[in-house]
Amino acid sequence: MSEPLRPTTSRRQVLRGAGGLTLGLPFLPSLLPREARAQSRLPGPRFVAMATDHGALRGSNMYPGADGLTDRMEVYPGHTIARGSLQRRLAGTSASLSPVLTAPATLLSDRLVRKLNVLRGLDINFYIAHHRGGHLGNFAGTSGGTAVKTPIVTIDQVMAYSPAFYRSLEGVRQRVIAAGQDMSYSQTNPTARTGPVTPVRATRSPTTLFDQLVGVPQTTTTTTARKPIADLVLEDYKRLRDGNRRLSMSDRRRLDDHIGRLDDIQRRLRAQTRTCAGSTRPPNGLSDGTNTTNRAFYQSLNDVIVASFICGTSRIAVVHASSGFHDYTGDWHQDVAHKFTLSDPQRLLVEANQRFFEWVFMDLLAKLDVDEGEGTSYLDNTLVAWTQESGYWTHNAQGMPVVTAGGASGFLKTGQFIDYRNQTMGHEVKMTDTLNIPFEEKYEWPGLTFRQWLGTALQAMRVPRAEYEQPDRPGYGDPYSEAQWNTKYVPGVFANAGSVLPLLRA
Amino acid sequence: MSHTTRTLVLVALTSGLLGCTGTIGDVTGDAAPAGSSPSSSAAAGPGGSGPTSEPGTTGPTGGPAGPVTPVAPSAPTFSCDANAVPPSLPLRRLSDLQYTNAVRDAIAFALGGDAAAAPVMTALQGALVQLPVDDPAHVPEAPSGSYSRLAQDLAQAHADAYYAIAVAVGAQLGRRERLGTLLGTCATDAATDNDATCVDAFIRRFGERVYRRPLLDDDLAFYRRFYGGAVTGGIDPAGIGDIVAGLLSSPYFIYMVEHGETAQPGRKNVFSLAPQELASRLAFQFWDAPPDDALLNVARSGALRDPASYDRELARVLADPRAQKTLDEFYSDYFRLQDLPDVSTSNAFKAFAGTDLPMSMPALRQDMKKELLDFARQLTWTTPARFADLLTSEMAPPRGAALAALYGTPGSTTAAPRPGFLTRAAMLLSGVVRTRPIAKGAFIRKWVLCDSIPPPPDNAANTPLDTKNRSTREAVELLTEQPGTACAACHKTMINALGFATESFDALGRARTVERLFDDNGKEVGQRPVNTSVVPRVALDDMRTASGPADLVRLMAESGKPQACFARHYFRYTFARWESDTPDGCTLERLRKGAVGGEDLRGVVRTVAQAPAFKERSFD
Repeated sequence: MSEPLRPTTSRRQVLRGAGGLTLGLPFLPSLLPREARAQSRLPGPRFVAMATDHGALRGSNMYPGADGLTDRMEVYPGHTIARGSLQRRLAGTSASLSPVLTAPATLLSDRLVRKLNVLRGLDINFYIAHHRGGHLGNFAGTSGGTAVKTPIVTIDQVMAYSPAFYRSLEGVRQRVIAAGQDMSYSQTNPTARTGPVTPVRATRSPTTLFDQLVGVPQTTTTTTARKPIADLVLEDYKRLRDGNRRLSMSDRRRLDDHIGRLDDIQRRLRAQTRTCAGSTRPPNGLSDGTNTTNRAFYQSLNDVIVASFICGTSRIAVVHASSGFHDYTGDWHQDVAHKFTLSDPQRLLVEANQRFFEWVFMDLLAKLDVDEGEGTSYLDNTLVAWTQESGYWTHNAQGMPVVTAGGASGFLKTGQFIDYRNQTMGHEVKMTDTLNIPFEEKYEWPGLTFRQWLGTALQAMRVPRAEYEQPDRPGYGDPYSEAQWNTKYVPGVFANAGSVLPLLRA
Repeated sequence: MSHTTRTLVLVALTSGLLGCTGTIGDVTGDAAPAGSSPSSSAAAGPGGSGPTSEPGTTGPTGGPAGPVTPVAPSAPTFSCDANAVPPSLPLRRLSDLQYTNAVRDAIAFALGGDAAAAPVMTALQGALVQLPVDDPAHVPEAPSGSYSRLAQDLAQAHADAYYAIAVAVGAQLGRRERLGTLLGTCATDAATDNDATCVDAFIRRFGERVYRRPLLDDDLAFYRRFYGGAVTGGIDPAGIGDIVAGLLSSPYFIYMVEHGETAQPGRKNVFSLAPQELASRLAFQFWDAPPDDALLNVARSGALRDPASYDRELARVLADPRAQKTLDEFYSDYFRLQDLPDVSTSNAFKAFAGTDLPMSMPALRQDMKKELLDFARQLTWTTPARFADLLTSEMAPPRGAALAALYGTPGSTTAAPRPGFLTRAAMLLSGVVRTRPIAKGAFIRKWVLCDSIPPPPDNAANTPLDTKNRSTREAVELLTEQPGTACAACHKTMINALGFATESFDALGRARTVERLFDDNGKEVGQRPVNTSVVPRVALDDMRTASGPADLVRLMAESGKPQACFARHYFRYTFARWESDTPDGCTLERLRKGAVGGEDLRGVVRTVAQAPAFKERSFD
């Protein structure tokens, strides 16, 4: 028999998601008696990574105007950055920070703008081209240059297996919710931290995710009266691994990997006597990939993520969205993303990214921005980060746009537009002048490293640097930097990549 | 595969239309004939520095170093060292398809047939959809393209799905009304003193099917424990359900567990496979399914150790219709049918397509895929032909209405000869008004010939073609073949010509003699003659000319390179791992010889199962 995770309340907040899905949130801790609240302890910060393919948005389309950068600050000798407070601009019923960062004024409210950060000038310092895991620190396995060959686990997995993050796994059904396209990478035996790094298979069904994270478990045993068989299944694998039948060493390692997975199933089964009453299961058949289906699909995913966070069945989600936030039916990759310098493709890129921002990113923020107690909302206790695959140029990741929301339980200062590019220097990218691109768009200015952003995210999740940093490799991710770029940075940029990004620490 | 996933996967082979190639190949050199490592990007092996290295093929710039002679170079071969010890894949996981078929087979076995299993499989859909899909994108060595079977990762989602499916099957089969079917009358008669024996018999019988080998006594004792106690007072259906779930969760069910049988003299840690293990290899290789009763019986008798009996079983397995369906999976990956692009709905494309663009583009795409699979089926099974015929045969399988309309009426001016698979619409469709000769050429160079192409300069793909009043070929030449540029070193010698040769077909796969030029509004603004005359340099020092697609595929077939490359492809598909030229040389050479002409395609398919490597395993 299942028991509710927390006392239910007669006052439920119901969030209505797009696509007809209604999610009933089962409780609001603020509605608990004051005594109970005083005793409550929030579980710790949460992390949501959202990623979209391509990028190559002109700065004037992606970022707030430079007139909003009211302050300058020399963070390292020879490297000056700029910041300003985010201010939305209203036009009719719309509010915007930039052409991409535009949504209905009711959604992009002043309240949520104060919880955003827009970060410009975070560089992966080599030609990475297309990648999946680069968003979260795995710079290998790309279609670009040959610089980084060794895959590493992504930061979500570092958090997931850090004792500093999940101090307790009580009630946790999935350490990481991986949804959409693959983006998260882990070792084959993440608990033991052994084995090769492989993609974590992302779930493509909000319904399946709901069943796994929120719904009443269906698979504990063939009948509810019997003990789950997980213990015996685990024993079966150990029986083979430790038996006297001939196996290779690599066979045994493979069994170890599987045993690690079964351990996790066993742990979750023990936790599955709890359920999150009141949540509504998404309908079957939701799919992504087109402009007409993406909205309902990703908003349903958002519903499940929020429900899981509120139920405490997970605290990390990574969502790699498919392309398709557009009506273009030709070859988006070749004829839009690669032609980003031309006006029509750039317009299509802006439209698609604006839809993602409004339909997915802001939708999640709104759903998370409900009271969690102690004067905070779930969003306040979360770090949501949206990154794009490329920076100013398709294939290049210099200037990876990062839009964040939430303060990670008081760790991050929000409401800022920060331009980390060195305002005192720049260098011209080899590009002809015939493309009719505004002067400012033709220049890439060295900023700070994307590694520093990744380390900042880890620290915001309270993961100590000692857990993830390699000697002489501050920050997170392979520190490779192309020679042509190295000369453009002042020494402090690399030396301080392990620190929290300037101006972000609350 | 979703559009986005496919886009990412395809980047390596298709991003080259614009500029100086963009990303022609992924950095892992996935299709490179790379000696001992798939991560190598050197041009080795056939046409490279392997056993039969050819002059002029090892330089990263691809330029012919030696004197140019208009003769065909000798065909590549592999070196065979019979004492070499091939690596083995650790505990090979069944593919998603194989696993699903194994679940169906187990249920059908328990319930007495496929018809009885069907409703149970339907009821299991909620659990089955949790199983991660294996596709080439999950092959770390080559995310831009390989074979689904090579996806051997074990994610938490796999383990979760295996467990959920096993429990769900147990819940379905562990029902009182099914006890008699599963266990026999001993489960439903009035007597209870035979119940324990009845359960044991079920474990042995069902267990052998699931394990694909007989259970040992300790296995029996172990699975009894899933019942949850002694069998007293009648048989508990839920206990039977948990036994079923336990057996379906077993590593013997989920993996191809092989212990080997007899040590191979002089080859350290190499053992012949036990008959049951061999039966599993045969069945999963050619049926994507577990062994049937007949194969299990032959294995149980030990007769599979006898070469003549083995060959008889192999012939029976290949004669089963499932073998054709399974080989479709290989051909689908070999032809890269998952990469078929989407089609633009721009005004320009609509004007370009004209009345040939059917209302249902999905139907046309389906016709295109079906044509290639039917083509391969016919040449492999119906009228077995040699591998070269895959490249050169004009055999035309019956086509769907949409594709037939596109190709034109036989005998008309639009119905041009279509030799081999490279001239079929599925290989020509670009999705936009213009063809993509760079992508076509890169595909042939890397995927069909197994040559590697050096990585392009950064951001090369970001320079658009200047197509004003130019044919696609002219625009590509202007951008990528300027003398003295880094672009030309690869494009002029390795890539473009292979794509230009089929410019006699447009972006929808229709035959043409002129290229019509359109503006963005769909207005035809001019025409340019099509030029398919090329020096394809199939081997890089082969300077013979080709006047069009027929010449190109003839030169390719004569070179022996596609055959050697095909050997690599079929090796990967069979062994679910990358080849290593030295220890795998014997198997590769056996396949290559078959493909060059010693065997028809059916024989090539068969010969892999007769290779020693198929019948043995190393335990390093």
